Amino acid sequence: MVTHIGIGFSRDANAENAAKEAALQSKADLQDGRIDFALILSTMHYAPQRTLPVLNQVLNQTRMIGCSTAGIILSTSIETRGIAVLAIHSDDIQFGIGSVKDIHTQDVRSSGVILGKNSVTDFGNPGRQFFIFFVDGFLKNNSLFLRGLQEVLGNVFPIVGAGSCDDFHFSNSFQIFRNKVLEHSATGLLLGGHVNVGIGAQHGWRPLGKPRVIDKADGNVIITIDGKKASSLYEEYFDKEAENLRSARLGQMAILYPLGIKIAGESEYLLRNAVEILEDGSIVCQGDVPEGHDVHIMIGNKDSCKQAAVGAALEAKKNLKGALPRLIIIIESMARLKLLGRIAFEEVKRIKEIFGLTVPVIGMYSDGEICPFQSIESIKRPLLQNESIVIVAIS
Amino acid sequence: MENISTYISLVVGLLAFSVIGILIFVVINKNEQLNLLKLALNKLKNSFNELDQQAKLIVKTDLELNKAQEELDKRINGLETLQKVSRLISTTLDENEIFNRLNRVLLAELGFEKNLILIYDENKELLDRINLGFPPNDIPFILSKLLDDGDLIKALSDGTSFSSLESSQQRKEEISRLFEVEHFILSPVLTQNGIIGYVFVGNRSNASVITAGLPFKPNP
Repeated sequence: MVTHIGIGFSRDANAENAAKEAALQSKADLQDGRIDFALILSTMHYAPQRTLPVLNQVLNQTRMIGCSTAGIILSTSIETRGIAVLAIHSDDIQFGIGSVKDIHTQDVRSSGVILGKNSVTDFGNPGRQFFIFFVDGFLKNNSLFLRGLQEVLGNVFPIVGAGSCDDFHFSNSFQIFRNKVLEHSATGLLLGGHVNVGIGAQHGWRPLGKPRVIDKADGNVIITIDGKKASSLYEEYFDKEAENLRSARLGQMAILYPLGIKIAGESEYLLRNAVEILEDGSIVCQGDVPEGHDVHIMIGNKDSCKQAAVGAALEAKKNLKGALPRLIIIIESMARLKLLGRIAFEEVKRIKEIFGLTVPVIGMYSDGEICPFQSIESIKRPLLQNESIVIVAIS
Repeated sequence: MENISTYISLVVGLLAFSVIGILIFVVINKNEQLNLLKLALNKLKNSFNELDQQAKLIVKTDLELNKAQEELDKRINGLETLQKVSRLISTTLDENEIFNRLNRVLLAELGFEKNLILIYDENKELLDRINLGFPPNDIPFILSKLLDDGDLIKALSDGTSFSSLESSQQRKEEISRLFEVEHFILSPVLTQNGIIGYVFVGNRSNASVITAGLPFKPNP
């Protein structure tokens, strides 16, 4: 019973060459011709229409999913340009993949159901353990999508997700499913068999200023806060910079100062990025917003980010219950890359110190993370979060 | 009997008077407590509002700090890239190899979306030696448009560089339209014998603004 893991990476200028180099490296690292599953992470510099045929060919038309990202996390570096391939061959782990297309034109919740069902169908056997998916990060309400998935997989089933994104332009992203490039879609992987999965997630953002009350909200749209139009919260805090609120630069500002909502029973603040400010001053968030709860502007710094990374790693290690990790997958908010800048790799260094320096690491910077969060009832329910680091340790 | 009822009335009266007295005392006491609590509440509210004002200052400072850090990161990256470039090109005299190496450096370190290095060949024809981010089919059009702009070519030949930060509005719009970018730097490559080509770098999106790379000046 063996599990082989291979990771390849390339930043060659030519898209086809980069795809070939990364795929061959992952195969060489795998030390095995058989590939059961491949995860592709690519920055927007490489047209997937050019890279995918090469990847598909070199990786023997294996089960393949992936997405675009703002940055790739590797064992040795953080790369903001390149293609990474994770190839797995295992006698112990079973894989099932699925996809759902054009979520933006369909009922979002039903799309989640379709992705769940497709993945379960491909997985086949019982004994599923963990689900990871990649969804278009620019969809305006991924909470509904998650609820659809939970209808199929169960409310407390461990689900981790990442919003695919671009290099801070907040304009487009893509998803990969087998040999197809998708947009406004989602792809997912169901893992099962003889595998242990430990998940840890934290964000490290802290509340700032006095709490205000969300007195009117509709789904993922905050209409009024403290009786005033919702955008007045940002206007009060950002003064002149608030001019950016209705411009293309909102994304860059909103990811650094998200809204934090205190939910009774939850140990962490629920973070929500503002993705759009409407004409009437309503704030459109990336996920559902509960009415009647306190809301804060949140702030993070380099230290709190690093502490959260360590906290998430320790939590993931604890959840492995003593098993030795064979692979670490990191899904981290692009806000953290922006905030940490040149020292972003220090987070990875600290994570490696916790799991062991030789454990292979792969990860991505995302626009929205889905991960199980602890509540006081000791039940971990997957939730959409922003600005978080999610660490998945697979044994 | 009459005495007894008078006595009872007196006692009841006294008790009622005492109760009223006590109640008045309690009310006065409670009122004082209420006033104290109101004062404390107001004080707390004021502190809360003051904290909120401080929070606003923290956000502003943090915003400035983030901008400064971004500028600093850019400058450090730029300096590191320059050092790498000088190291790379100082080990070869082969022109093709120099461009080959520059290609990798530009890609990996500078991070511009569009890069174009144009060099005049022996026949004084302008050729693209490095093209990153432009469809190859667009290059002949860009070259012809560029060469047709006599004023621009003359200014470049005189050693003038153009950038989206400092160029006139008209010039900025012309260059932006030609190269399909929002932010750019267009600079001549000069030797002792005069101009031998042009370097262009640019970004399409407003999200990745090219800044002057000057020390960051916080708002007064």
